[in-house]
Amino acid sequence: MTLGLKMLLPRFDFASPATLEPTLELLAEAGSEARLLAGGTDLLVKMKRGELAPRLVVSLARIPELARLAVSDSGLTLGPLCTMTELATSPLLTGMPAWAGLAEGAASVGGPIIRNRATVGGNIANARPCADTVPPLMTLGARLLLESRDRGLRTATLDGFITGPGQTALRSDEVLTGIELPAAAGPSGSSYLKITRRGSMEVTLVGCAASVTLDADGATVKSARAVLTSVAAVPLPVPDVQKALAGCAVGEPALEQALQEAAEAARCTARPIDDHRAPAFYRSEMAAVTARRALRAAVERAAGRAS
Amino acid sequence: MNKRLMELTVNGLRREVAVEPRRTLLELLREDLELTGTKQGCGEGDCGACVVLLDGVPVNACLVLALEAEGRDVLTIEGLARGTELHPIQQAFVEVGAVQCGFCTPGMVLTAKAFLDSHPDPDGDEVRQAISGNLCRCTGYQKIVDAILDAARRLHEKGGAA
Amino acid sequence: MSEKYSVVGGRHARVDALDKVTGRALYTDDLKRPDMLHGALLHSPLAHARVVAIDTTRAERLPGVKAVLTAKNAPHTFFGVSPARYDEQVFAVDKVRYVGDEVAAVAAVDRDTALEALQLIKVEFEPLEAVLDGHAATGVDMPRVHEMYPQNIAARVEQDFGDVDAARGEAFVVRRGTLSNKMQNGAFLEPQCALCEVDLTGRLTLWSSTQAPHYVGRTVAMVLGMPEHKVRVVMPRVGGGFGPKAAASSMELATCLLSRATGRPVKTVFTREQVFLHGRARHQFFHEMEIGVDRDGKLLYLDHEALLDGGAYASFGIATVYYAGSLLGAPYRLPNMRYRGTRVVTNKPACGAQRGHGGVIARALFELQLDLIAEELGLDPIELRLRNVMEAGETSCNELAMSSLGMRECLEAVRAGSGWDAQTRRRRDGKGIGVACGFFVSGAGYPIYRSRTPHCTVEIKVDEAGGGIEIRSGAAEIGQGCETMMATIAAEVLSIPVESVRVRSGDTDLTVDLGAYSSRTTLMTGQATKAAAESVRRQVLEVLAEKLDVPVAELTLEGGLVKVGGGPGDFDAIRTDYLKEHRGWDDLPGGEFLTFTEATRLAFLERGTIVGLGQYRPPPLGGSFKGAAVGTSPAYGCSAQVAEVDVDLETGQVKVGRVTAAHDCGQAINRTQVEGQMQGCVSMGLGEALMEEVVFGPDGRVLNPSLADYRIPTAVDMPEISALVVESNEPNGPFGAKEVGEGGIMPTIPAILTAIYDATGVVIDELPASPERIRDRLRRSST
Repeated sequence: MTLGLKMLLPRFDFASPATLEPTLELLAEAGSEARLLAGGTDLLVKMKRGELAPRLVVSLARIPELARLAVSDSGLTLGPLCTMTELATSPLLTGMPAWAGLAEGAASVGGPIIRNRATVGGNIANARPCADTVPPLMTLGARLLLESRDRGLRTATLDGFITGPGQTALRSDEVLTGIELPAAAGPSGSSYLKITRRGSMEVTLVGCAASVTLDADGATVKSARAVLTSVAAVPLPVPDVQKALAGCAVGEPALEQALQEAAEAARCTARPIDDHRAPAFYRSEMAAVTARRALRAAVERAAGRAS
Repeated sequence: MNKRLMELTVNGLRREVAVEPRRTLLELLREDLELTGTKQGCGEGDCGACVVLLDGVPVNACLVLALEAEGRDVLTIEGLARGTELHPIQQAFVEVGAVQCGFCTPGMVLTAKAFLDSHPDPDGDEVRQAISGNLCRCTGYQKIVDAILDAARRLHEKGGAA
Repeated sequence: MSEKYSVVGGRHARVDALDKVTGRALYTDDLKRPDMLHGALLHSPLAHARVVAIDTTRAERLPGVKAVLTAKNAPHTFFGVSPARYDEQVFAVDKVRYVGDEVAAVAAVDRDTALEALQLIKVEFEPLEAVLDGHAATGVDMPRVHEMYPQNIAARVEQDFGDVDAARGEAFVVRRGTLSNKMQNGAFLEPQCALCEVDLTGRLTLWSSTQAPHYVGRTVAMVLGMPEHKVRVVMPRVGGGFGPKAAASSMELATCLLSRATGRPVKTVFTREQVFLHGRARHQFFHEMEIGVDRDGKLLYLDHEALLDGGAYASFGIATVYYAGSLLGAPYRLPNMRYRGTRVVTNKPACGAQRGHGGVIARALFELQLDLIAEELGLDPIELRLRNVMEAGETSCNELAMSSLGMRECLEAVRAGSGWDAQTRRRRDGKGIGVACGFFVSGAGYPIYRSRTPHCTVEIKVDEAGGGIEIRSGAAEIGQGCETMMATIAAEVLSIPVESVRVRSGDTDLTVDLGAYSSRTTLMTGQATKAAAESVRRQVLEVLAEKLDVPVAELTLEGGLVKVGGGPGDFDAIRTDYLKEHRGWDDLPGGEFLTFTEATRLAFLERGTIVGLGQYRPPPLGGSFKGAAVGTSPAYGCSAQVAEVDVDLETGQVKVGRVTAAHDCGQAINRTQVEGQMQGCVSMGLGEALMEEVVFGPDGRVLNPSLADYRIPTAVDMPEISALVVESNEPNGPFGAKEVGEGGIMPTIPAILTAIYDATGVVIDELPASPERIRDRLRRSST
């Protein structure tokens, strides 16, 4: 009987601490009755629809270190509050073939206005099967920094962190305080591709992120990863991509063959549902297409060619 | 009721309001401050009709809590013209014919303003990307794109962002 | 700017643009009244169910709730669109017929309380089997959605023109095809909103985001049992209509009832979800056509069958099912046409009229079939069409008279504008180009209810001080620019600047106007405006002629000045009153020409307030056959479009690269506005072709009631649109003008479908031509 009841937020308490410590304190006390607010583009929609009604909403917006974006010799560090716009346009990402897939993933979320608010931390914590930054981060070997009052700092790999639609291993008293991407071990390129019906403001129908690292000589593939989005309950690594591509020389027929194998592996591993956005057969087919195209783009970027 | 006193700047004026945490920026503007120029088209960030500039950045006001705007600068459509002197973007919209029903117009104009402030010399594709989060059902976007390109030219002639 | 006219045909800025671009324009939800309450509606969660009991006691007791209404304490009067099919009631009386059907309404001091009250209303339903498939709906075992529609058929049309069977025997090529779509949504940016206040004399004012204040006012009066003159409907600025807002809704009626019950103003606003529940948008159509041509490609016959799934109520559906057939009678010479159309009811949101009404999907299939016929004959598709186009003066087999028809010119314009002849077609590599035509009425020939009423009246009052005029009209400005059109026409007739013209519109207290639907406003309200302005002109010049002792025919108005025999006159004697009255003013008028300001001031002094009245009623139109009324019009617009597409053969995604559009609007009153309408039509057509569909669950729920999941084109989905205006000078229209607001959508879907066929060899038979559908067809055709 609750049709048409959307569009008003329920009542809640609100806090917006200026540092991390009081934030962790609030979470430790409130536990599952509290929700963290980053950009609000997921949380507030869920609350308006009556899907969530936390007693306490804690905004992270005033904690400056959570918005950092820095590159060092050991890799890239992002704060959870980095917005999609920042990640899509930062020269630290767009200028580096190794991180280009993350920029592309961020640039494809929703539309430009949403991207001004939506954050990478929110994208991870909300764990939607169609999340666009999670697959790129997974292909780049992301590690998460998680802090709580009672247990201090712990780290976790993004791989396996998302356990189901809307479900992660984030505990109710924890804040995701950082995401670390290790520097690549050689010339590297990444990419993200997604299929949608229209050109903006779309929930991804199928997407694939790929990351490829070449040998120091830049001629052969050393490692490769691909992760699919929207074809399962969680972002889905494509199996045997490493096996198929490792050792292939750039520009050689063997690599083309390997890309076909990887595409086929993507199609077989996908377990999409039929829903009102797209039928399952199409998502499976597009898993193959996006995997092949994303991997090819990653290879070309790693090899220094425009893609 | 857990109302809180907060201060923010709206269209250059410091405003003090008492709001509940659940109040959105859109509700604050339209209902508490009676600035009805910002529109609600969907309430969920899908249409862009509620776009305002928050510290110069276009956001969907329906998905920003009023309290999140505390101490910050909000520009709504009412704040763009100086008295009867229209902003060049507004002038372009009027003269090029980019306005039909007008419901998307406030959000569209503000998105365009923020875009031209940081991209003073765009091409048509870049304009389309920039407004791809503002839906319009009336115009097919053609004259909106034409108007924004025209506004870029006007701003250039005036000597930079206004 | 045209040489013929001073403002008509030009590019004057819209008269409402300044308010809209500064946030000053007020839409219904921007309005507040003192002591205003908030209304909210309770909708059925079931597609088909008997209402066993409703318990509102807890809701009534909630502090802050001022009224709770259900069928128990609200009128049961049936209403709808066509009086012969009044099948709607404000609240469900015995059953609910779709997920979203209104069951109750509350008015409370704030929205929270209103929504809380809704949750306290307990409704006991007895679920019934739901009819969810248009084809299955007519089955003998299916439950009836309405008692009054056996086999769930709300309307059945059978029309025969000429002799299709005989023509079939002579055909050289016969082509059969089918096309279906899904229910659509108007997706206007402004959700419906209604604010009602009843004053102490019992007079009711309803401010509403509507496009038909006249029909809404009549319905309010009928359902509330009030005299019509005690009901006033006012349109504030309206954020788009496109058809779904052209009829009274339960929301508007409930708001009025709540206001009457509480004695306070009540405002109700739809959420975006409710916009989808309400529907009243494009029907689902299933078309089947057989077209025969001779060896030269000349059309011999059309045998056409259509099934329309129109959801739970009749709404505009009778007209829709007629238009689906009748609009194919032109713009080509078609000597023989058979049409069988069935409009069914199902347990889904009701469908009504939406831009292009019943003709859009029918036109899409017809044009696609022409493309395939052209291919079979080895003819260029434009050439095939040129061999068949009608000319002005001809009449179609279903008695539609082409008083003007620039169809040939439109085709030539898009052929040249798109570089058609230089393009390589049938490459099948993903890149393609297609062409299609379209045709539409400039206003329905008859009002929706049987009546001799003029379709519109317009009043122009001249300012007593002189110089300015005020146009008063019930016309519906929904963004299409009719206020600007009226101001331009009046300014042209009186030869004054548009800035001297004020327009008050959309208020039933002003004049009669049937509203914005069937693309009628420019021709009909334009004609009434022109007549009113000419009356003003005549009255003013008569006074001057008398004062100057010259024949009235020698006086002209030009550029805001009065001239005698086209030249200067001796106005000193008659301007003395004005000069005396304006002692103290700077820059008083003088010289060899009298100003419009002086002339109109003088006319007031002589005759009192000068008011010009104009009206428009179409001449008797159409044939004597059943249903002849629907499709008849005083004039017809036509258009042609060329679309260029790039299809990713691996993913099925379609990018439309460019659209070249030509539309014959008779005479552009405002060239910029005409182009804007053409471009807007293309965007809705593109959306319906590629991405728009209302999706239903197995329980009849709308699964995508949001602008995230019901996709309309964004700026990156739309191509550059080249809008070419063709002017055939329509004799029945003001300054030769006729429609553009709806007809411009007709060629879009088929232009894209024929381009997709050109690019891929895939014939689309089901809309939208989504990526998965194209991939599926490509896969099947390659195995």
